[in-house]
Amino acid sequence: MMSSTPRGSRDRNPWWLVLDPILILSTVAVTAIGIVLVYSATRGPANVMIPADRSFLERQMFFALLGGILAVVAALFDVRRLRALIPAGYAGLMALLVAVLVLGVKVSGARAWFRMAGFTFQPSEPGKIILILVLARVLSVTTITTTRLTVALGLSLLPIALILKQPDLGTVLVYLAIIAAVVVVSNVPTRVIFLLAIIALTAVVGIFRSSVLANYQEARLTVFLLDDAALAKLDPSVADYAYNAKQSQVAIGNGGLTGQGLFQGTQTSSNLVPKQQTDFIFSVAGEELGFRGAAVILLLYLLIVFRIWRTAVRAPDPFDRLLSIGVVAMLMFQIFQSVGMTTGIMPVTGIPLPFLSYGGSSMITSMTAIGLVLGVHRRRFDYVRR
Amino acid sequence: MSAVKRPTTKTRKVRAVRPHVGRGRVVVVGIVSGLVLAGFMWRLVDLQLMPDPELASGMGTRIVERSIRAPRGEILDRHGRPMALSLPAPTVIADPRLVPAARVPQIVAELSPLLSTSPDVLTRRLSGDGYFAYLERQVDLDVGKKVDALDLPGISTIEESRRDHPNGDCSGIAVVGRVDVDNNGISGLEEQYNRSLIGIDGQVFSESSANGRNTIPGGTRVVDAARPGSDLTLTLDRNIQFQAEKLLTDAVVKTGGDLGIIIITVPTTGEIVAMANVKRNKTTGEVGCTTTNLGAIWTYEPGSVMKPFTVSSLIEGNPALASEPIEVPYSITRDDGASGKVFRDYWVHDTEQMSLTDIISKSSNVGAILVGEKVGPDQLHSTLVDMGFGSRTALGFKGEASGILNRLDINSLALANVSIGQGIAVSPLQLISAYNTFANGGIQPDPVIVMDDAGGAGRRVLSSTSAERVLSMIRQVVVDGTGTRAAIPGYDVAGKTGTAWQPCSVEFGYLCQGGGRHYSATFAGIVSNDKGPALSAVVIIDNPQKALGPYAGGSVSAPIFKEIVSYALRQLRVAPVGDPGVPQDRVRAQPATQPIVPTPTQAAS
Repeated sequence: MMSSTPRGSRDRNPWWLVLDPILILSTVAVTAIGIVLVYSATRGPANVMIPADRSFLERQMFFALLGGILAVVAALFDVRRLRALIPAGYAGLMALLVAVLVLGVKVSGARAWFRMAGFTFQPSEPGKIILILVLARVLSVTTITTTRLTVALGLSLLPIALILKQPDLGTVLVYLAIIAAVVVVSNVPTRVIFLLAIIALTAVVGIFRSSVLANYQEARLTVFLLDDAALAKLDPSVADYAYNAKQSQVAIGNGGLTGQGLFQGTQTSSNLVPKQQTDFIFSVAGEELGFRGAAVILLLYLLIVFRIWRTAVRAPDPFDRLLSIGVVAMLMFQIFQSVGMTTGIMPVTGIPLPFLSYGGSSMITSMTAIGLVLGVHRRRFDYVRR
Repeated sequence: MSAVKRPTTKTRKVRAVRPHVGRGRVVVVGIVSGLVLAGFMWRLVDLQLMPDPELASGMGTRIVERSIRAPRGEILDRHGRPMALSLPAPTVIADPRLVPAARVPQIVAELSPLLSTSPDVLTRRLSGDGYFAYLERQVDLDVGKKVDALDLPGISTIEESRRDHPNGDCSGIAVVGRVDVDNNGISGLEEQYNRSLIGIDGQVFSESSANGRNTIPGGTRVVDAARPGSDLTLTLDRNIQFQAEKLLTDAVVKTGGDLGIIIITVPTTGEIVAMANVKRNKTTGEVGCTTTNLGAIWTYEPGSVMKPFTVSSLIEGNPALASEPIEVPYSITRDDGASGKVFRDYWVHDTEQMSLTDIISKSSNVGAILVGEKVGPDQLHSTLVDMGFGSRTALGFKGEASGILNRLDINSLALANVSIGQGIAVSPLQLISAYNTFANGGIQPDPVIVMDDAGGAGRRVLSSTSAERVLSMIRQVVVDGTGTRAAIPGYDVAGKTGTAWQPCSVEFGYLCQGGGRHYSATFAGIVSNDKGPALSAVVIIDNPQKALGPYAGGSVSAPIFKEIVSYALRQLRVAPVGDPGVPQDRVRAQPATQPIVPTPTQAAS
């Protein structure tokens, strides 16, 4: 069988080798589960009197379809050939991020969304991909000078500053995770990485010590560490931040091994977990599908991340590798943060769970990212042919 | 498998064109990612497979609990007629926030004709800024309906219940007791048996939406039905109780007394058929019911009504001596070591030979004292203790008195006093229980007021022959002694009168300030037909005024005894002597249909 594979011909490579079907199937599976969970979270207490609300379901299906198309497009294009367009993309992102501060609508306290024709669009979401592309573009060289690194960091800190203005702390953290991963994997000298790590740590400590963070932001970041007794002593306005996480844990705890059954989750159907169709979608999975379902979802995520990481390891050139690692960092951090906050081991910051959470911007971004990685995977075989 | 590996080998061939620095770091990123996902997996195990009970079963904050009031049990008399029952009584409430300030005067104007709450109070409660205010609790059902019909903003009614007493709020109140506005017993049997009467409130647990109002369709719903309180059937007879109170009230009014007590029991079983308490309000002078169950709680010096116990002590302790007549002078003096006290009989007589029967029927103080001295202080004390004096009865009524029974061997005065029923404090309940010993062949049944408690074995205090002898002696009291007015035609009545002195002033003891005496008039008796003892009763009028007429036990209490016991005999359908009576199967409740004269073996068991 090995000998039957024709050498040096991409076209002759079997499609399942070129396409990475494992990544595709895992993504499709998680997305499909997500659509069902979003429906469960938003259908309301459907009964004879009140028909189930299908609007979220339909929109999410549309987003998934749109994302799928974008993924295919992204996979087919050789991004490296569009490198010249990356500065333009960056400029466009900056323009949108500035514009959103002026024209955007405020949702949950952050002015991060454009609203048009009944849809909302969050520019900082696709901004993640722009950031990955920019960083990959700037850092995919053999020797990275301090100037180059400074430029890379400067370019990525600009959108971060604008997103902080919204303010959307969660997305900023995703950006920072992307930057960290890409920088670490790039050819930046190890000592510089350590230096940067020290600077970053100092900055984090400094931020908490200073008054840069609004009180509510700081409370949100630390409240998950407290137990019930400590919560009782808190000011109610602060303790409210614990409510979300608490309800979410109740929901997940309710699930047990087998879950309460799809559409049967009582926390879910009574809408007790705020934002359960978006940032807290994992609580729906935990309650209705139980440990079995939630574990399957985590395993699918593991599969997705592993396949992307594998693509990164085997990437034919530094740009592709950094691109893939950027996507790994983006997805990984979002999973880490979103699952972490629903299970009560991370602070509550609004970050959608890729493919599962309701939302067009997130779906399109995650799907496009998968498309880009599929492109990288595909290009691997181009090198072989060469 | 091998096919998948193939491209890898191929990529290795072009490795030279790629930078190789990143690879190790990529592995680090991969390991970190794997660890993070593994960590989440563990967290899921922690949350879902080893659940915190609070998270898994308590269902956290979305369970809404509503309570269903258990109806309070009824208190029934011995025939199942309610003496206390709960009736629905709506409570008018307001949510002041929903009451428009401008409409308050109009709402008050519409409500005040219906409610007894004053318009000022209504205005104040409606103008508050709380969520809840009582306007009036437990109004009549039709008042509640009218309030609902007005359909005023923020005004509504909630279901509550009110304790109602069919014979009026007065009858039996001291025994039955009262409940507070939340239907918890606060006195009497309502309090004592509160736990079984209140029942267990039910609860509805339902899952509700985030706003707490809407039940989740299909959500878990657990209904824990309310368990109604158990009814409490008493040994009281509602009608006899009422009649006793009526007679007592009249008697206390007529005699100018302070209080009146009647206890009627079935002597064979100790069942209390009536326990009437009437008291004069010291400030207003009105005579009416009291919430204090004087029959069990109040104590007094009973006087001559105690003489049968002195005599029974002699009969029981020394039957031979008891047959000999006693030489009784008109007066004797006994002292406490410091001063002497002269005891006299209430009629002047020469020193004469008296049998024990004479001493009892004529109620000779001197004779009784001499009998007491024959008995001796220790024996008399122990007889009185056996009879139940000085300690609470088995009834266990809340606040029941134990009375005062001191040592008698300290001096001759103490023994002399107690021989005639002075210098000892007893409760009416103790007294009637002790009398039941004579009726019941020497076995004293424990007094009971709750039907379920009846049927106890009682305890033997006297031999049956001694009891019979005392019974025949006190029968003579009614035949030709001091208690003839207690006689009830057609029935065999035995009893003893008592006209006692009560301690009246600190300086003069039994003598009141400014002269006069505080008397108490007592009659304790037993009524039998040819089937045996049927009823026993004690009637006490405390402090009858000598100026208003009769004040002695034989003239004040004995007639009341006759009247109330006659009534009770009719109510309970006790056939007169020689009358076959109502056929058994037509009698709803018939006390003492069988003469109970237990044999000693029965008593021993």
